[in-house]
Amino acid sequence: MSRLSNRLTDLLGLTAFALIIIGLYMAFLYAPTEVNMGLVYRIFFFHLASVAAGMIGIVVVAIAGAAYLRTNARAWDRVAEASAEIGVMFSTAALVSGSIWAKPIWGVWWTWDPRLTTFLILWLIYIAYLMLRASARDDARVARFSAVFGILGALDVPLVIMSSRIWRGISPVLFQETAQGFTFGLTGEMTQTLFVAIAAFILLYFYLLIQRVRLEEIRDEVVAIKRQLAAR
Amino acid sequence: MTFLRQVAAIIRKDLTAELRTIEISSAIIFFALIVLIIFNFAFELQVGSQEIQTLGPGVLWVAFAFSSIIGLGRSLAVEKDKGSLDGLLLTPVDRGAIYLGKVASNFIFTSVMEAITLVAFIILFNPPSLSLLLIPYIILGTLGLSAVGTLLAAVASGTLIREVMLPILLFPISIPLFMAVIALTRHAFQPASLLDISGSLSLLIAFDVIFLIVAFLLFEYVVEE
Amino acid sequence: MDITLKDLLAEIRNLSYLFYGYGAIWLIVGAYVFLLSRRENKLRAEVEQLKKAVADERQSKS
Repeated sequence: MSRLSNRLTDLLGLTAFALIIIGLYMAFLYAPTEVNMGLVYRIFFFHLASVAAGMIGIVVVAIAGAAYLRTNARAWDRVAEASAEIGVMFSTAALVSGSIWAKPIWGVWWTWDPRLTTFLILWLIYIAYLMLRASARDDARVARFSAVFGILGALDVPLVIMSSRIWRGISPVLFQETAQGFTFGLTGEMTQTLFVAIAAFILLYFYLLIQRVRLEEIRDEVVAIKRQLAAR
Repeated sequence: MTFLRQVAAIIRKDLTAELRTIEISSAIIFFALIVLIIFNFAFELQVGSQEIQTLGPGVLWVAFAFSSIIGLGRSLAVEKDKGSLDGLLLTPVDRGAIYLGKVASNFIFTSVMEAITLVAFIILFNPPSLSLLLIPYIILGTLGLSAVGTLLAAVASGTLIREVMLPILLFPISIPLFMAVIALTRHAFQPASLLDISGSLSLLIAFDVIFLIVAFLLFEYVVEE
Repeated sequence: MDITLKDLLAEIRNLSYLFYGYGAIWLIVGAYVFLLSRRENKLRAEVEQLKKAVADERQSKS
C-alpha cells in the first residue's frame, strides 16, 4: 500500500465527511419547508442517499463477483465481501429511515410501496449473501458460490422494482395512502440538497469500501503468517 | 454427442432414476396436499365461495413454492450422495447441458406435482371460475423457478446447511417471479374481471429468459472443483 | 396562513420523527465505522504479535 494511495484514501474520507456536513446544513437550513409534509420530509435527503449507496453496493458485489469468476483473483473476492457488508449497512439505514419517515406521513410503520419493498428484498439478498459466505467459511468454493449468488441478486433488483410497481397498481385497496400521496414537488434547492447528500454517501461508500478491503488484506496476511508458523 | 443429445440423456437418466423409486415425486406431492389442507384450517375457506377467488391464487402458489423447494433440494442431494454428479463431471459432458438437463427434469417433476395439486385444489375448494390460461401461467412460473432453483440448489448443496440454505437463497431472488405469477393466477381465477396482466406477463417472461441464460452461463462455476 | 395549535403540536411531534430518522441513519453508519476501525486495530495488533513470533523463531533457530 503506497503512501499515495493512503493519502488519496484519506482525501476521499475527508471529502465525504465535508459533503456530509454541507449536506446536513443544506437539509436543515437551506432547503425550504415542504408544503404537504412539513419539517419531517427532511429525512428524505439522507434516506435517498442511503438508498443510492445500498444500490451501488449490490452492483459492486455483482461486478466484483463476475470479475472474480473470470480471473480467480482473491482481490476481487475481497471487494465483493466488503461491498456486501457496507451495502447491507446502508440498506438497513435506508429501511429504518424509510420506515421512520412513513410513520408520520402515512400513519403506518410499513407500506409495500415499490421503494420500501425493493429495499426489503435487497436487504434479504444481502443477508442471504452474507449467510452463504458464513456457512461455507473454509470451503475454497465459497468465493465462487458467493459470486454467482451476487450476480443473481443484482440482476434481481430491477425485476423486483418493476414487479412491485405492477403489484401496487393491481392492489389499490391496500394503498390508501396513495391518496394522501407521495406528491411533493421538488424545488431547485431541494434537488441541490439531494444531490449533495447522495454524493456524500456515495463517497462515503467508496471510502468505507477501501477501508474494509484493507481490513481483509490484513486478515489474509494474518492467515498467511499463521500458516507459515504452523509449517515449522 | 451433440449438445441436445446430452441434454436429453441427462433428462432420461433423471426420469428413469425417479421412476424406479418415485421418492422425490411422492414426497413433494404429499407435501403440497398437506399444505392445502393446512390452509383450509388456517383460513376456514368456504368451499366454492368468493373467498376462493381472492385467496386461492396465494394458497396455490405457497403450496407450489414450498413443495418445489423440497423437490429441488432433494433432487440434487440425492445426486451428491450417490456421487453421480461427480461421475457426470468426470465425463466431457458440456456443463451447460447438465444444467439444462437438470432444469428440464426438475421442471417435469415440479409440473407433475403442480398438476396433481391443482386437481386436489379444485376438488377441495371448488373455485367458482377458473380459466384454462392458468396452465400456461403455471408453466411460465415453474420454468423460472426451475431455472433459478437448479442453479441455487447446486450452490446450496455445497454448504454445510444445505437444506436451509436453498430457501434462503431462492426466495429473495424469486420474489418478482411470485409477484408476477400470482397476479396472473388471480386473473385466471377471475377471467371476467378486467385485470391488466400485460405487465405481469412480460415481467414473468423477462424473468425466465434472463435467469435461464445467466444461470446457464454460471452453472459451470458452481460445479467445478 | 392560519396555523392552529393542533397543527403546531403535530409539527412538534413530527420533529421527533425527524430526529429519530436522522439519529437512526447516523447511529447505523457510525456503529459500522466504529466497529470497522476496532476490527482493524485488533488485526494490526495481531499482525505485530505474529511478526514478532516469526522473528523470535528465526532468532532461536539461528
